[in-house]
Amino acid sequence: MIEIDNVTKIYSRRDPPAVKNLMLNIENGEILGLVGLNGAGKTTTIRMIAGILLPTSGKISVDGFDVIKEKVKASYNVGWIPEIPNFEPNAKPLSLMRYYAGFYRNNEKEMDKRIKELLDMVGLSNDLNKKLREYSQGMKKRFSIAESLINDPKNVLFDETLNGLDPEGVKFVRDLIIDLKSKQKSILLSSHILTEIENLADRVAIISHGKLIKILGKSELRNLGKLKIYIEIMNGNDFRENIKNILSKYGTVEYLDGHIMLTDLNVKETEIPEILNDLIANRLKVRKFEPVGESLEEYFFKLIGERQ
Amino acid sequence: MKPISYEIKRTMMSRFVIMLIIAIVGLSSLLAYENASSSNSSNVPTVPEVAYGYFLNNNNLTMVAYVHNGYGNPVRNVVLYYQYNGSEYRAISSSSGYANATFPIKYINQIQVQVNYTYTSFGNKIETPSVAYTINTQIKYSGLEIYPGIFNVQNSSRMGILAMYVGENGSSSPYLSFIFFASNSSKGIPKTFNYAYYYNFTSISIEKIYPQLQMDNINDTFYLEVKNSTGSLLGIYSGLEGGKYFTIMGLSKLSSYTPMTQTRLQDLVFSGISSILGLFIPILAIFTAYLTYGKDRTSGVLESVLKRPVTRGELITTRFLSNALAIFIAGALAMIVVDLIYYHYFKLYFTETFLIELIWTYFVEGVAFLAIVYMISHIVKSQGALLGAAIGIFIVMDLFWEIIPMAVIYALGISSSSSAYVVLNILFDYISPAGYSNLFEALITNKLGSFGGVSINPSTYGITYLPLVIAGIFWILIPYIIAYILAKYRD
Repeated sequence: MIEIDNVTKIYSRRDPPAVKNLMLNIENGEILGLVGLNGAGKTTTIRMIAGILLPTSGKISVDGFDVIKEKVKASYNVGWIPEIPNFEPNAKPLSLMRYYAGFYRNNEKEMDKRIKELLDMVGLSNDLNKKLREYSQGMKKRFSIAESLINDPKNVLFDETLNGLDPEGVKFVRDLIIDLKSKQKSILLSSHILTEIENLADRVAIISHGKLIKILGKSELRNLGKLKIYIEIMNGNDFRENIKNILSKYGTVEYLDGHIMLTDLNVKETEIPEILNDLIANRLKVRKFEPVGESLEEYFFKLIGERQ
Repeated sequence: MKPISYEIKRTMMSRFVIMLIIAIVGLSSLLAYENASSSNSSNVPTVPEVAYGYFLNNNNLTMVAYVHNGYGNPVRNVVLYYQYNGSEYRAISSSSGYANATFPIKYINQIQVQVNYTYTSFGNKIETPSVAYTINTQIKYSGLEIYPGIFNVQNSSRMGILAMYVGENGSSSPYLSFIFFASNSSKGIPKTFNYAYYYNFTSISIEKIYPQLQMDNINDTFYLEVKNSTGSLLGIYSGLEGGKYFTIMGLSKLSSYTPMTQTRLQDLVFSGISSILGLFIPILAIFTAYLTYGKDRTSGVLESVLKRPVTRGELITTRFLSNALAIFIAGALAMIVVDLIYYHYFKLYFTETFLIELIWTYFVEGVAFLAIVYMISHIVKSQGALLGAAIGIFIVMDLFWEIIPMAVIYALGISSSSSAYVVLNILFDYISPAGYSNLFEALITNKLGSFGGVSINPSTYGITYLPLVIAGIFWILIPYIIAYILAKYRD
């Protein structure tokens, strides 16, 4: 479990904060998607959780341990896969993994077994004699996944991990994330590929200029990309019960600011005009009746656009 | 694998560290070997010398000259000039070393021939002053001449004599018996001889004789008797003097060996090895810090370690200690090998105190530079800037550190005999870690190391053990603590 409590990060007094008063938490067994434009503060947030950067103010806890004051305990259960992994170029994978494993003070034999399993899992078993400088970017990313999971951490941070991976690699990471979630790990997933986030995340945090703009919950995410109907009815508030009775036959009715959103439609797309007919037949004056199907990407750009 | 083990292995197995340790130990050893092997042969003359003899045949005088080096071996192409009665006669030494000249003389009781010679040294033609060689014309040949003071190639501290014989018409010698008597009496001609060496020869023209000196007798005075086959004592002619007088001549000592002392041994270290360590230990420290810490930090490699359950403080300390170990090993190994080489030649080890002082001095020097680069690694942001800073530190604070005070001293017009000169030098030695070894050298040798060594009383200028040890601890701790604080509280 990761808790980010009112965290601000300022790199330079001349520049605006990279992250400002950020409040987030990631529960066990939850995948939190983190989306934002370049420079929004996603990587800074992840690096602070990983203990690489120091927050200017606020507190980050991992499984209840402060990442600054109790760094060793907090980092014990964090795995971080950075966007561009960087390793000692002259090291060989096995010796470097053993070095990393040494920090966890576990049984050496068990660790050795796990190292081999992990390297096998990421498909690097045949490249163990190469030095890391000879690895391609994709291989380094695979190695990064392996070394980040060396201690089977309870919290895993994926920072643009899908970038630079081939389709097989993307599928591997996707399956890995689902598997980790099933093992009740807390997962923070930052990606520019919003469809992946949409498909994998339980919640999505949208940040812009270091600030949290919106957290989309499970229900909102579920409706993203699905067909829904935007309806505006003149004097609609006066006929609220009547309208609800009519529309409930076709799906879930949500009253929003002055309009109605009909979601979870139980009619086919070809049958949608019947809903309009039904409303008119009940003498309701329909001002706007618009079927919409918004993806996370569309939602994101709309939200960011509104903000800007 | 424990992280500290990996860090030590990584540091010690790095190609740069291995190469630098080999360079430090290798160069120190070579210099120690050169120092040790040449310290006894340094007295061997490098200019050619000439042994003279003659024989008379009717109205002709043949001057026999054997040109030789400090070991008594022949030297070729030396031009000898003989001046007699207003005429000059010339001869060039052959590969056998002989340069003979024959010319007519007027028969009177005693004649004088002026002799000198020229030789070439490093392209320069050098001419020796003329010497008068006096010949009694009643004696038809010079016979045996003894030239003491030639060195033994096999052991350059051992000396011997060059025996030259010119007989009738230039013939070689009859049977001759050489007896070296030795005495440990230091008062004139000894009354008793402790032991003797015997050498017998027949038909000698030039002979090098090296008595088999015992180690205990190297300070004894030696005398030479030469007898013929009937046991009669022969007269010995004393070189260019030519006069025929019967005596026992003192050959003085047959060894140039002087026992090595701890002070001389320390002087040998400070005459060259200290410069090698003073140059290479900082290179090792600065670039090891760059390669194993600074570069990792600025390139982001360190992040792959920092994300582990380790604090920033533990990480910097572990790497620092593993780097410091490499510096210690380089300095200690170099000094131990140098000590063994000196022992091989002089049968004398460094005192434990001196060995510890040396190792401590260069350890402080190296670790201080190490800590400075660690500190800068947390100030600059890019690899290039860090490498530039590391090179700059090496050039300014180590390579040119002895030139900078000199420039300041000249600029301020301070006399090298003034106290201000010494104070300023000491001040500069305290400002850079590169000066730390100079301070220790001053403490041990009473000479301020920079600029050829000015004799000082170290304690007058506050150079005693306590301030030096405190300065060393400060040099290690202050930059390290700054680096530690920066690592802990700065991204």
